[in-house]
This record gives sequence, structure tokens and C-alpha cells, in this order.
Amino acid sequence: MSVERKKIIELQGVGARAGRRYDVDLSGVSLCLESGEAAILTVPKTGLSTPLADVCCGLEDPEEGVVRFLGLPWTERSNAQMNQARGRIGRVWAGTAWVGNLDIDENIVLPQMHHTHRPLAEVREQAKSLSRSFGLDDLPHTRPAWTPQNIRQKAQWVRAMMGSPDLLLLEFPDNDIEEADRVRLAAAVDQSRARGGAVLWITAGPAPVLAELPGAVRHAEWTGGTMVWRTQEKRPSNPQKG
Amino acid sequence: MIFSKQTNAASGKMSFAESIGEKTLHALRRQRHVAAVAATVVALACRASSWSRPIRNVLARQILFTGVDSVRFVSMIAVLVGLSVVLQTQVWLSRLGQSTLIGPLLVAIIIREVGPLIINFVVIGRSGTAISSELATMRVAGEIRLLDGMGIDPLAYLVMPRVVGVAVSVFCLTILFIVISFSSGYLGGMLLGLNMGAPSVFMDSVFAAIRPADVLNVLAKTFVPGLLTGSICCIEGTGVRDAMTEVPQAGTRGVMRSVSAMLIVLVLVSILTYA
Repeated sequence: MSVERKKIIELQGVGARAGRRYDVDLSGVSLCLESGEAAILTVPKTGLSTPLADVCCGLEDPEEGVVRFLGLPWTERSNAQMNQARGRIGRVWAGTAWVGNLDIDENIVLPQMHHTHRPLAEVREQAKSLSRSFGLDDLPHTRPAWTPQNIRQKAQWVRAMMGSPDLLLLEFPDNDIEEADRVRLAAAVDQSRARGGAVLWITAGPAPVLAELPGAVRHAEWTGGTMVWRTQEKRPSNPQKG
Repeated sequence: MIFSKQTNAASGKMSFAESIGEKTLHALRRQRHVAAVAATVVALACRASSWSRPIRNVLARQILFTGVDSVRFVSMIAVLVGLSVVLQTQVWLSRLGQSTLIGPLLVAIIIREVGPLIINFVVIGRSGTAISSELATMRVAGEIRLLDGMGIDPLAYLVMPRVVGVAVSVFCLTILFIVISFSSGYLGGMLLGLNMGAPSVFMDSVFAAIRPADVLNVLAKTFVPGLLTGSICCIEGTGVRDAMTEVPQAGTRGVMRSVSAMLIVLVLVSILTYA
């Protein structure tokens, strides 16, 4: 399987304060993920809230450094461009993940219905197919508050994978999940990588086993507010302070 | 004066005049913010590209909740108001021997003033609080940030369809109110044996009294307060920070500010149209 190599997400010397929203600061993080690549970040405890995923999707402006998504810094995009770019990111959220006054299935199709002109039937068919591949019988039709946690978690996977995203940001996607389901998730992530997507997987459990694809899989640990690479990291060629 | 200012600054207290000035400026900034949001919503709503399928769904739900679900309640009020206003008007005009004035008087009372006023009150009380509370809850729960993270502009997805839905609903409910109140008043008068005249004569007298200014008046007194109510309630709802206790406060502030804005607009429109 060969994919066109392009830089999906690039962080150069990124730092961000924890503030009210996060548990820990971010300092001096550099990371570059190209098509098909994956970075697995192991943090000390489940639910440890870091600004990393928010910084990657431009929700949080870093206090230092620069974040580029598909070659363009978030700070140089207009609001419309930012929204369009975020439509290319699939994310499993660690915190609030659902719009409470929509059913789970409505939540799942919402980004695709908003960002694309795909027919609803086609979008729902993809969602159903993904649901089945993750071991769900069907798309959940209940409100998030009335849906069990393990089903909500798998439904988050479905939403993240919809529409072949360029970047997958997975924050603790394997919480309260059995090993067999974790393997299913890893397989879906590999498929996304094979299509040219990049993956940032944050976990507090054992590192997932991803397939040997042309894109590298690198492992990092969270230490003192930064990512320390366990496997060799490909540093950006010309680091700049933003 | 300078010395006095320095003293106040040093002590961290404001003089009475400064306090009034500060409050006035704050109020003006708030009005400017509401106007900016309403104008942005109108500009966004005029762009076809703003109306993605989920946003059209939100609009439909808002019109269903604010407009369609209010029909029974508004109809009941319209019947009661129609009976009392039309009957009183007819009784007093008959005593004065001025029955031909029924049309102009009803237009002046119901179409120009009472209809828009009551409907705006109903919508503010029913939907304004709901919008403020719902958005405040979403804000506190982090759902607005979630939408932002999925690339769905909260202004386009949450605010615009609600504001437009409220404005459209106020207009439609006002027309419904006018029609039902005239009909119920006429039928009530007939049942009570009052000299209401033939239906065609009654309708002619009403239609003959409606001037182009009245049409503009109804449009201005429904769409403008509707836009402001929607904008104010959305601003109050999305303006909360982190605490659930702020949710009911946002609802209360939304209603109070919407009522004030609505009354000011109604009076201004009346003055501009008829003075």
C-alpha cells in the first residue's frame, strides 16, 4: 500500500499553559506526522487532561511555537478555513464528547452532514458499517445521557472515522474497552493510515499494536509536560519559534 | 478635579458621576454587542452557503418549538383578547352611534399594538428562557467547544437558526393572533346578539382601515423584536462561564433584557410610524 506523503500535522516547539482547562502544561513539544504515520503517547493516568489534542486542532493557541495542519498554521487561517480544516480531523474526545440534545446517531452524522454534501443515506450507511466493524449491532438511537459508556466510546470511534479524515486525534479511546475491541480499533486506525491519514493516539493503558505500514509508528511518554520519544523521532527539518 | 480623580483611583473607589458614566458606557457597549450579533446573524442568514443541512434542521426545530407548539396557547389568548376588545369596542361605539369606526379602532388596537405586544411577550416567556438556559447548559457542559472542535461554527449552528426561527415565529404568530382575535370577536358579538353587521361589512371596515404603514408597523414590530430577543437570549446563554448556577441567571437576564428591548422597539416603531 503506498500513499502520497504529505505533512499532516506539525508542531514546532509548542508550549501551552494548563490554565483552568487542563491538568498539565505543555512545553517544547515538537512533532511531525506525515501521511500514514502514527504517534502513540502514553500518559501516566487515564483522563490526564493535556492541551495537546486541542492545540493540534487549533482550538487552543499555543503560547509558544507553531502548529501547522496540512501545511498551514492555525493562526493564519480565517474562521471559515479553520472550520473547514477541522472537518478533516476525526477526534475521540476525553471530555465532553456529545451534543446532549441530539441522539447518538445524529451526533455521529452531524459533522459529515455539515461539512459535506454526501447524501444522508450514504453517511448513515458508512456509520452503520463502522458500527458493525466495532462490534455494535446498529447505530445507537438514544440520547448520550441514556447510553452506556462502552457504547458511547465505540460510537466516538465511529464518528472519528467517518469520511476518511486526514488526522485522527484519539484521546483515551481505549477507556473501559475490552481487548478484542481495542484490536478492532487498531485495525480501523491502520485502515485510516493506509488511506493516508495520520494518527495521534493518547493512552494511559498498554500501547496499541499497529500494523507495519510505510508510515512509521512512534512511541512517546509524557514526562514533565513534554513528549519524550521512546523510538527515534523524525524532527522537523527547520524548527522555528512561532 | 484631577486631584480628586487621583484620590479616587488611589482608593479604588469611583465617584457617583464616574459610576453613572461607567454604567452608561457599559449599557451602551451591551447594546452595541446585541446589534452586532443581530446584524451578523442577518448577514449570515442571507448567505445560502450558511444553511448546511444540520443548520436547517435546527431552524426547523426552533420554528416547531417557538411557532408551531405555541399555536394552541396563542389561539386561546387571541380568542379571549378578541372577545373582550371587539365586544367592548362594539358596545361603546354603538352607544356613541359611531359603529362605522369599528374597523379603524380595531386596527389601531389589535394590529398596531396589542397583537405584536402579546406575541412578543409569549415568545420571550416561552422560548427566550428556553434558549438562554439551553445554550448556557451547553456552554457549561463544554458542548459549544465540542462543536467548535468539529469545525461547526457555534454562531452559525446555534445562534443563527434560533434567532431567525424566533423572528419568523413572532411574525407568523402575530398574523395568526390578529386573524383569530378578529374572528372570535365577531363570532362572540353575534352570539351575544350585538349588532355586528354582516361578515363582509365587518371585514370591509377592517381592511379599509389598514394602511401601508400598518403593514410596515407589523413587520417592524415582529421581526425586529424577534431578532433582538433571539440575539439577547443567545448572548446571555453563551456568555456564562463554568458554573451550573449561572444557567437560571442567564435565563432571567435574557428575559429581562429582551422585554426591555422589545418595549423600546415597539414604542419607537409606533412613534416613527404614526407620530
